[in-house]
Amino acid sequence: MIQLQDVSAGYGGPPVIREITLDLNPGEVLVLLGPNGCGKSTLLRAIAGLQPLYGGQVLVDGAPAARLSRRQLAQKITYLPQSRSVPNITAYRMVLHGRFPYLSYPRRYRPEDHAAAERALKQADAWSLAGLPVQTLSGGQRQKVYLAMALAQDTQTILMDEPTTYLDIRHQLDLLSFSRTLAKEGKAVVLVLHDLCLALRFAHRGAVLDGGRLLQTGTPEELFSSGVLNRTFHTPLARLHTEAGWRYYYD
Amino acid sequence: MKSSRTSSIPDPRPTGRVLAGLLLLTLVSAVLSLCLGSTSVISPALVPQALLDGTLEGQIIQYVRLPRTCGCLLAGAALAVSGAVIQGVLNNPLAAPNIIGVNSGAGLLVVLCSALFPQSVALTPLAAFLGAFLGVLLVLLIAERTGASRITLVLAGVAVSNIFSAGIDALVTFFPDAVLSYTDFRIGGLNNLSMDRIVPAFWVVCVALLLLFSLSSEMDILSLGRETAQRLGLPVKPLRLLLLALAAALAGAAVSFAGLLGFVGLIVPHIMRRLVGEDSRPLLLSCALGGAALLTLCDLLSRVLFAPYEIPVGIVLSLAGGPFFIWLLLRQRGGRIV
Repeated sequence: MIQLQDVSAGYGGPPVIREITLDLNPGEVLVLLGPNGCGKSTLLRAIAGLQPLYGGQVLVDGAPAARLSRRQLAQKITYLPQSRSVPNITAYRMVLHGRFPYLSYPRRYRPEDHAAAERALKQADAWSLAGLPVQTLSGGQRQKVYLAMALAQDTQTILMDEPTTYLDIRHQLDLLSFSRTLAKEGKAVVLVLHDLCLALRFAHRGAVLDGGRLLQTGTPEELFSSGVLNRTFHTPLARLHTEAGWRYYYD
Repeated sequence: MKSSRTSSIPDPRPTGRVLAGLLLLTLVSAVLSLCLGSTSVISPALVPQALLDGTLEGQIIQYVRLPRTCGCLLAGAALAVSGAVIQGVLNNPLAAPNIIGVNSGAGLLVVLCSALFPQSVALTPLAAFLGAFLGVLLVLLIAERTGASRITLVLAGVAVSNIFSAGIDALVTFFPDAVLSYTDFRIGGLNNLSMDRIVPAFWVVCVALLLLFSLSSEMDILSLGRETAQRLGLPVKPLRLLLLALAAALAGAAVSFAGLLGFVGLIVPHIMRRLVGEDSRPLLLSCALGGAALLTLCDLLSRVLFAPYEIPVGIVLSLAGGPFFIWLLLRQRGGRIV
C-alpha cells in the first residue's frame, strides 16, 4: 500500500505540488481531478519515484520509498505516463519488457515471464496484436499494448496519466470498467482523468487538486454534494439517478 | 511452455536468415580480401598451400593481406557496433562515432600519444579509448545539460568533432612524424598494417563486444526511452555511461590502427535496423557482421579499383556512405528526426 505524507515536489523551481497527504488503497479506483496545471501529473510522477521530493515522504508498504532501489520500486508501482515513446519492436516484446524489474543479471526472460506477458496481452484484449510492430498500431491499439505492459509488470499499485486520451468512447468505457476489475482483484488504481462525468461514474474515490494543493478527497457523491468540483472547475455539474446509479453531466 | 506460446506469435522479420546471410557475406569478403589485391590474384583453394610453401604469394598473404583483412573485419565490426550503441543510448539516429566527435577525440589522443611517446605503440589503444570517451562524454554532457533536440545534439557533436580535428591538424603541423601517413589517418586507411598493431585493439574489441552482448536486455529497455527505463527499474545514468564507455572503447580501438574511418558507424546500424529490427542482441550481432563485411569489401575495392595504385578505404566508404546519409536526411525530413 502506498501512503503519501506531506509530499511536496517540483521541477527545480517553486513546488508544483505542496504538502499532499493521501492513501492509495488496494481494491480502489482513485481518480485525481483538477484543472490543467494543478499538479496531477507531477503527483503521479512523485509517487512513481520519477520526481525528486522537496519535502514529505512516500511510504511503500510502510517503508520510505527513498530507501528502495529503482528495481524494488518497479516491483511495487507501475506508472503509465501521458506521452510515451513508440519503439520499433513487436507488441509482444514490448509487453515482455514489463517483466524487466523481476530479472537479475544477465536479464534473460524466463518461461514465467513469457506466460505473464501472454496473460497480460489477453487480459488487455491485445493478444491479436502480439506479433505486430508497435509503430504500425493505431492509438487505441497502442494504448491496449501499454496497458498490457503495465499488467505484465504485476504490481499492486497502477498509476495511469490520462489513459483515455487516444481512445474512442467505447474503448474509454472498456478501460474504465477494466480499472474497476483490477481494483476488484485487489490492486490500487490511480487515474488522472479530464472527463469529470466518466471519472465520477467509475471512481471509488476522487481527490481534487487545485494550485498544487489537495482540496478534498471523498466518494463521488461526497465530492458532488460538497460543491468542491463546481468551485474548482467553475462549471456547474449536475447528476441524474438511473437504475445503474448516479450519472453526472454538465448543466 | 515458452516455446509453444511464443511460436504462435509470427516474427515479422527473418532475423535468422539475415544473420546467416551476413555471416556468409563476411566470410566471402574475408576470403576475397585474402585472394585479391593490386599485385596478384590467387585462387582461394591455393591460399593454405601458398602460406605453407612460403612463396612470394604466401608472404604477401601472410604479411600484407592477412593483417589487413583482420584489421578490416575488426575495425568494421567495432565501428558499426559502436555506432549502434551510441545511436541507441543517445536515442538519435544521426549520432555515429565519426559525427559526434568520438573518432576525432580518439584520433587526437592517438596523435598526441605518438608525438609525445613515439616508442610506446602499446599505449595507442589506451589513448584512443580515452580520446573517444572524452568525445562521447562531452556530447552526453551537452545532451543532458541542454535537453538538446536531436539535431542540436548532432550540431554540437560536429562542433566537438571539429575542435578535435583542429587539434589533430595542429599536432601534425608541429610533429609531422607523429603519424606515418597523414592522409591515410585522416580519411581512414588500412595499408601498412601489421599484426602487432592489431592485437591490442583485438582484445579491447573482444572484451567490449562481450560486455555489450551481456547488456543487450538493458539496451532494449533503454531504447524504450529514458523515463520508461527508469520506471522499469533500470539505473539509467550509470548504464548510459557504461554503454558509452564501451562504445568509445570500440571506436577508439578501431581508430588506433585504422584512422578516422567514417560512415561505417552510421550506415551499418541503419541498414541493420531495417533488416532485423531494434532488438539489441540481433542488432548488435548483425552490425558486427555487416560492418566487418562492408569495410572489408570497401577496402578490397580501394585496392583493386585503380590497381596497381591504392586509394585509402575512407574515400570508398565516404563515396558509398555520403549518398546514403543524404538519402537518410531526405527520407526523415519534416521533423521526424529533429
